[in-house]
Amino acid sequence: MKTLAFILCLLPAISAAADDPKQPPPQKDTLQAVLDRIKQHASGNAWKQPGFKDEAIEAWLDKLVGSIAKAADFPDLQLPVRQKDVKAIGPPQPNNYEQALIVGKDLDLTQYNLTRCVVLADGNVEVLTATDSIIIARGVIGINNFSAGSVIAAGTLVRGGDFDGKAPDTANGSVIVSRGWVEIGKTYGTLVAAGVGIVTTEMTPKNLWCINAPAPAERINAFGPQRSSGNRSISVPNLPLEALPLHPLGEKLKVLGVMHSRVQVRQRALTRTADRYQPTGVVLEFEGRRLMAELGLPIADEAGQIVSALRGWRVSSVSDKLVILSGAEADAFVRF
Amino acid sequence: MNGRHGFAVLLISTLQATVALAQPEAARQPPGPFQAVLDRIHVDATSDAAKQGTLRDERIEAWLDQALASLAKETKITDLKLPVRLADLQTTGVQPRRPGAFGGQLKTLLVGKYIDQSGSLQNCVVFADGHARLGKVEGCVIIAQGTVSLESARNSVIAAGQCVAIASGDGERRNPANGSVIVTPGWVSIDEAASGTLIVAHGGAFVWLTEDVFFINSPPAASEQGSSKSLTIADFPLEVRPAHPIAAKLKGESVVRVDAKRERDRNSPLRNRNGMKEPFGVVFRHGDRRYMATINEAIVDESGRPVESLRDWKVTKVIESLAIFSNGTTEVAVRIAGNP
Repeated sequence: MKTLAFILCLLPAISAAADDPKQPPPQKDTLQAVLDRIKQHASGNAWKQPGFKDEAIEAWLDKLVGSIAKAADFPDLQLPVRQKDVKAIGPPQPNNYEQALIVGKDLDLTQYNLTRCVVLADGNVEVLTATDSIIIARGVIGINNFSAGSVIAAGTLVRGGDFDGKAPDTANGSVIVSRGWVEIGKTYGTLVAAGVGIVTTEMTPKNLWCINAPAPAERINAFGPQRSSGNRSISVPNLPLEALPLHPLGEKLKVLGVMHSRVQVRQRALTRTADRYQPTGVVLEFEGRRLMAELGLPIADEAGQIVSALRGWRVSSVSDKLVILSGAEADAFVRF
Repeated sequence: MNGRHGFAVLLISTLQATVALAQPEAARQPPGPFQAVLDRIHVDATSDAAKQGTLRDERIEAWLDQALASLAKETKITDLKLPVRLADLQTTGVQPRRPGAFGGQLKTLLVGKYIDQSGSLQNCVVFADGHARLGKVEGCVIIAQGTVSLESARNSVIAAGQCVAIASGDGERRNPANGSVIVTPGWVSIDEAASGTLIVAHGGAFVWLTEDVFFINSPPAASEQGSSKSLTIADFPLEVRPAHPIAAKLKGESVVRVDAKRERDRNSPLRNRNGMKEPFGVVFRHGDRRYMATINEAIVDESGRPVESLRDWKVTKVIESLAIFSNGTTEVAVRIAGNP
């Protein structure tokens, strides 16, 4: 059986440019306004003080979830946790964070299960699981195993886990939004909004609620329509999510190939790891040169010297047909 | 044995990342016993007898019998014998599927330069003067000049000039009677379990999980690891090939594909490498530089200029664990060991 990925919706191309000085400042009800506030918090320590709360971020989250709840006629949908319920993380804890506030630039929480946590990142975030949590990041949010009952918002990409929600119930799906893409596995009542496209690794997605995008088509075979998949399309006209900004770097790069190596990955049984052949980087063409860029590492030339024009940039995500690069201040993407 | 997760990840390899293979045309001496077999296949591949299904090659079968007898004697597996003989075959060439019949190839002779047959093969003989890429094989005899790539194998005899790669497993779990015999002066790579497999690999072998596996004349001269054993058979009919100096200078890091599909979790129905495209290149280190080579193209630097020290070389074959470099007369297998 093949790993199938279906692009469910592709919305019109985005015309804004992140670094364009002529652009107006971010409007109040935008993810960008939230990300700008997160950038300030990540560069300081105020968030570590008792009673820390950012009203503007919580107001945006309320508007996001409230607008979806209203449009979906789903009044029980609300934020799973509020800032007053969490406190800044102290010393590292083994494997689990509960009711924690975590703020930073790039947050590697790959080994952590989050429950009722708030995570705010001025970069990328990787977690093992997220339950009843809020995660907002400027770049890529990666869920390595599963999520449920959470609100997850990314500037460029949410790479969901094997499943979202709690089978067979459909009341515990997460709200997952991204200005760019959302990649997702099995869904149990998951509400998804993606500015560019939703990609599911399931051949026949079920209980996937697509916001401002068409739902996957119902399956029909020789015996007629199959049992309803539970997929829905929901129109949310006032969704506070702006278009994905285009960074000019993405136009200068071309993906020539994807590097695959044996790497150790965590299996579904959480205590196990195994070797797998996985994407570990990309071969890029940049200004007439061919560069091998490893995931998460500075982009170097064939002699190992950092390419000065790409200093500060690294490949943060390689997925089917899409490479995302993260810089200190912005993100760029290349499709292939 | 990696006790943490219960699997034996067994790396039987030289500490070197590379192994050099044949220099058949440059050799002045008489060919070794295995090279003589490969030379016969080179002749047989274009023979009328092969096309007509009347191919009988006693010298190849004699070598196979000698190899199995040698293994049987030393491993004390007395019922080791060829699973199929040329005389047993009923058809030649790929047969169309007949309704209600076995869906793959049965008692068929496949001879050619490159053989690419993704279905099942049962009691077939495959002689490839180049590489062979096959699906599930059972009770088969497969010999190739270059690499043999299989989905899975069982109770077969497989010999390759460069490398044998099995994407899933060989044999049958908890039943060592169905393991295959694998012989190569190069490398063996088995990504899942090998059960009851007899492996002769001068270059080394990478096996995910071993059950009653014999490693014969394979480096290092390891003691028992789990349920595997190491043996040395001095008179085994497989010659040691001289190493080409360039072998020590190349170090494989990763394969390059056009897409980014992931190998799935073993518990998933979307498992292993199904759906992943074949690699088209390899990233490797040579000296203090890192290059990407595309199959059958000149090796160039990042600006597109030929790399002088590799001017005569090309990559001719890439699988997950190995890349074959060739200068037209010499082939060198480079293990792809990842980026340290």
